[in-house]
Amino acid sequence: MPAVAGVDLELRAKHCLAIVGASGSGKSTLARCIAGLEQPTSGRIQFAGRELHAAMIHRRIQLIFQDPGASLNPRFRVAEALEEPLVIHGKNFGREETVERLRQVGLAESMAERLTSQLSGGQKARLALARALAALDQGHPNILILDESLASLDLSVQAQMVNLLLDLRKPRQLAYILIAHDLSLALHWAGEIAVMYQGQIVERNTPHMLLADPRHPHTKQLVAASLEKESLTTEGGGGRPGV
Amino acid sequence: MRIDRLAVSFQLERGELNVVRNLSLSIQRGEIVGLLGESGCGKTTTALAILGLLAANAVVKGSVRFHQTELRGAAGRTLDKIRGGGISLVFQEPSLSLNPVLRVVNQVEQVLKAHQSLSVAERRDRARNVLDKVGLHTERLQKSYPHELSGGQRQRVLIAQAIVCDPSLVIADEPTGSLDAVSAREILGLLRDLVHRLNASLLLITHDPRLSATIADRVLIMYAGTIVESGPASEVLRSPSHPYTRGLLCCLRDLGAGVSDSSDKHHLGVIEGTAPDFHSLPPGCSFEPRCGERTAACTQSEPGLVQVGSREVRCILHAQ
Repeated sequence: MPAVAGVDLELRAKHCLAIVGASGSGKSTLARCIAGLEQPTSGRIQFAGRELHAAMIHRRIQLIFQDPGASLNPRFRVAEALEEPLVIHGKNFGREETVERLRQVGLAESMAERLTSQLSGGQKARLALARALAALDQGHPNILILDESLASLDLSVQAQMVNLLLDLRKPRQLAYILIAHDLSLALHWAGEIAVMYQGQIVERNTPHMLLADPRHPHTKQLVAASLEKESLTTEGGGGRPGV
Repeated sequence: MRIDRLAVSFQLERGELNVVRNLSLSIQRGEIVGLLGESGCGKTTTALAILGLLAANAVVKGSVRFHQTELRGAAGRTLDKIRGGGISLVFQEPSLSLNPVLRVVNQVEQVLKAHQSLSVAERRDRARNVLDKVGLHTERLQKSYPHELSGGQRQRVLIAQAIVCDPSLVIADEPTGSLDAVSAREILGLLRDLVHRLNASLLLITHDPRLSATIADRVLIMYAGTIVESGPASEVLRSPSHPYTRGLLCCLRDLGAGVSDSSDKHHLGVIEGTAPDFHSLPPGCSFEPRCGERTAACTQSEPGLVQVGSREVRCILHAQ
């Protein structure tokens, strides 16, 4: 059974591409192919003009899973969890670097000795991000795939994570692939949105055009669901919280 | 249903944990009420406390009256009658709440068996009928095992179980949490139509203001175990009064309004910091450490709920 068929995509350095669609539309399978966790039956994926190969893939492309907390070993301390990918990829590390990497994702030094099971959902998401960044080579453009990684977080935590990811984009030369079933985050964040339906990309456009002129019936459904949800909360409202 | 000064605390080795504090709410027949708050604020604990489903180390104070019956401390037999019969609960994760080795139609029949004395044929008829109502029309779907159904279809089975005995109150705890946007919209519409048709009430527990915005008549905003703002949904969500509600909606509004095609995306409005730990709640207002409008007085004592027009707000800024 083809899970993904005839998909053509292109992602430029430091850009954000969102892939949206209902559950079972093939989004995660596509993400796993790009991250090298699944072998496509046919077709090819190139990175920086070269065929993807196992030796480089995990140093340039990282995927953060749907439930970031579930991919952390609950018996590990935060520092151990962060050092694990560094050891695997044979990189140097020391306590200072660990602390610096934690700080980069907004975790205090005092977190280093906590068990990962003691972290809140938002803190787990930050640690998962730090682990993904640790595996990536610095100084080159890289790709970070977020497979619904923010969906399970509370709104206020989601907003903090989005801001953090926006801040990291330039210094860490990150391009993002955002996998989501919901348009709202994609509309805000992505430069381009691809809508997936039954394994195929049925529409690709900028957020603005997608919202203004959805063509495919499934895109129309997604836009309607998104607009209906926003209708009440986008009018007026109080000012920004002065934080 | 009327809840008066509900408090739930858990006795732990480390001491007492006050997870729900001084919570009052009432739901009229036919009304849809949204209970809105972020993870760990005590929403689900409140739902479980209503039905007496909390663990043995939970201490529940206050009163929960359903029609003429006091549910707090009620005998098991009384509660058994009300659970699923008078008040039903739709859980968050449908795949965890269904029996994997029973056909879904049989699982709906089980609810009927527990509450009504019907013949086997009548039960089968009622169960098929209610599955039909929630959109599982074909016999093949009705005779499926849970693993043969999609997440949205499983959620429909839970809704069928919840309404099969014509309850007067349905509590839905994040009923769309595991669904994609399109199915979530369908499920919410279905819930709304069904409770209206039964003339029942709905308590919708959710962390997403957009969900309560689409169907609730009234919303209650919960933070750190207590209600910080309540009132008509359209008013509260359009012009929030409490700084926490404002912050929450600000994160959202930026998401909705942030459609831009430039590669330079702007930052979202955020509420800085994290929700307080129940072990160390701040001495005054529980939102004070994260609030942008705090004053020295906010650390003194927790403000009470103040009536402001058609709504209630727990904030010192509205106390005058």
